[in-house]
Amino acid sequence: MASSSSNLISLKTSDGTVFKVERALAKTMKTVQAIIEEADANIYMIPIHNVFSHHMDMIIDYYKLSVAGKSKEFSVEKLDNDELKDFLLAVHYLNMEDLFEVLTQAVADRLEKKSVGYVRKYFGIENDFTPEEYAAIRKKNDWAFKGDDIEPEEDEEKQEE
Amino acid sequence: MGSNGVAIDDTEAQTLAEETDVISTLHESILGLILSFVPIIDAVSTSVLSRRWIEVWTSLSTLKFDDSLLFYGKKMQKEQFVNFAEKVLLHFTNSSIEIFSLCLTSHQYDASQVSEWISFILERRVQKLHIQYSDKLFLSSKSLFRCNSLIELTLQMRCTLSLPVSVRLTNLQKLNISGIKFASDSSTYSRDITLSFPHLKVFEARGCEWSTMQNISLQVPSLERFSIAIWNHHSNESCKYGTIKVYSQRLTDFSYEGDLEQDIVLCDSSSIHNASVVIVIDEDKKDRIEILGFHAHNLLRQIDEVERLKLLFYKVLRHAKDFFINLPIFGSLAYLQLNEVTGEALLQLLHNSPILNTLVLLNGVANLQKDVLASAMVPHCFLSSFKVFQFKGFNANEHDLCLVKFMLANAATLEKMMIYPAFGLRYSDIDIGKVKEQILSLPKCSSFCVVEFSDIASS
Repeated sequence: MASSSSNLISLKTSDGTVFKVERALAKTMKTVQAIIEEADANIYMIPIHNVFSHHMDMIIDYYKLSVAGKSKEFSVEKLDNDELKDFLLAVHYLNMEDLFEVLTQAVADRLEKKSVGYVRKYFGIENDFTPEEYAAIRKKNDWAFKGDDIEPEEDEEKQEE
Repeated sequence: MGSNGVAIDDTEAQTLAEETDVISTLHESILGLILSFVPIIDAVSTSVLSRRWIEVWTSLSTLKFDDSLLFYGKKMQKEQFVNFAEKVLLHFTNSSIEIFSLCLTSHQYDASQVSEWISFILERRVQKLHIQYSDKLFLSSKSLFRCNSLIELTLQMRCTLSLPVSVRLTNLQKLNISGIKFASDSSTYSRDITLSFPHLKVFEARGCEWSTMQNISLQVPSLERFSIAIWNHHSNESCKYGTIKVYSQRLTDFSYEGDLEQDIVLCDSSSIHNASVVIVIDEDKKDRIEILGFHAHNLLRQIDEVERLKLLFYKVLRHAKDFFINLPIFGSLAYLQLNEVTGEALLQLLHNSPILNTLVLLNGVANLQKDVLASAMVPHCFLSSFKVFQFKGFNANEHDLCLVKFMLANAATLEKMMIYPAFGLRYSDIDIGKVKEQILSLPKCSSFCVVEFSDIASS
């Protein structure tokens, strides 16, 4: 037989937990699907790096909701910004289209009113501008900023509306 | 103006370096991915994150302009918004755009300026184009019909498009238009105008004017859903409108709303399951009722194999006897929804729907004559398939009670009757409790029929 006779696929997360998931769920993970298809023999267990068991829990939650037609009820509100980013990375690694879109939108929503400094920190972007360079580019693109926006040092959540 | 907020101190630099370079690149790539989901204003502001990021936003594949979005907490002034849009387009470097969306909620934008933006976008192999503007715009028909990259097109705006004799958009899957006036290129063409969209799945046209002398031939073999709403034809206009012919083989959903002045011909309607027909005819068309009745018949005849039908009439009914004289037989109809009908019309419909399972009346019956019902033959569906009757907008008047009585007395297979009192009923001096009692004590032909009353007023 070319494929496993059971309908469950075993996935091992980075922290060593083994999840037995339905084949249909594994199919939504393009990375996993590619591994299954490339294997000649039966795959016993597929390791998924960068994915932790708490990520798998949420992935399974999302899957159950979407199968029931309730994917809109899936919420990542309880995750803080860093946890959300890690989850997004995990889903990106697994190449799960729908959930990835949901999470990118969630991250985008969270970053909407954050300062430039916060965004830098969040994505680990090093500010390599000299003060003059920064002032110059800031002035050049002034039309995209509110007039007197001064670059804050710390993270600053703009409490708007 | 202060530059002291920019430089990072040593300890911060150390921490940043500790997050390994690999991870930071990966995280940065995430930002690139989410940039399309971030409002354009925020996307542009990534230009000041670092040197690498100065130009990243200019190659976004999604551009969404919405003049109602808040810019740092306040809605943009019109000039500010126009300036912003102009600057974005000026810096834009991508040669192809996946999604372009323009929502203008204010009025009186400079039409030629906005048109320039749209032309700019059309030249960039845009796939999904969405424009919403309630004022007048100019749109180059030529550029639009030549934009073969289009997969989804939504135009909700007032403009005139001139149709050449042949239009072909091979990638278009979804079309949603509203407020467009279509005119033909030249009135000397005697041939049909052909609109060919081989992959179109959804066609929705609401309140468009199809004022071409020629017929319009829609070649849409993959079409699954067709929805059209045409009204505002003036009866004093002597020109005849061209027929709209729809060539599809997979159509399952058909929806028509209009005054029946313009013919729609479905060249293969065998696969339609669901249909919705909403007929709106003004009082001043009284003299044309006979002709319009004929048009109605032509329309209904084309959808006589549907399983679900919603048939609604507005403004017209008192004079519309003719509409129901030559009804086709709806041989597959299982579900029928009506908003208002005369007793005669309802009977005719029931007779012509031999396997009807569910009937929903939104507003009861007008003008139900007792003797009509008394002498009426029992419809075939009453003896075989009719199981569910939903009576919404029940007014407890003579007509309504008469109908309920007729149903209960004759519908042998009826399982459930749901009565929803009309909103005004609870404020009238009619004793609803007594009416309920009265109904529940009526003779029932079907021994397993349950009559239920909803306490919530129907909508």
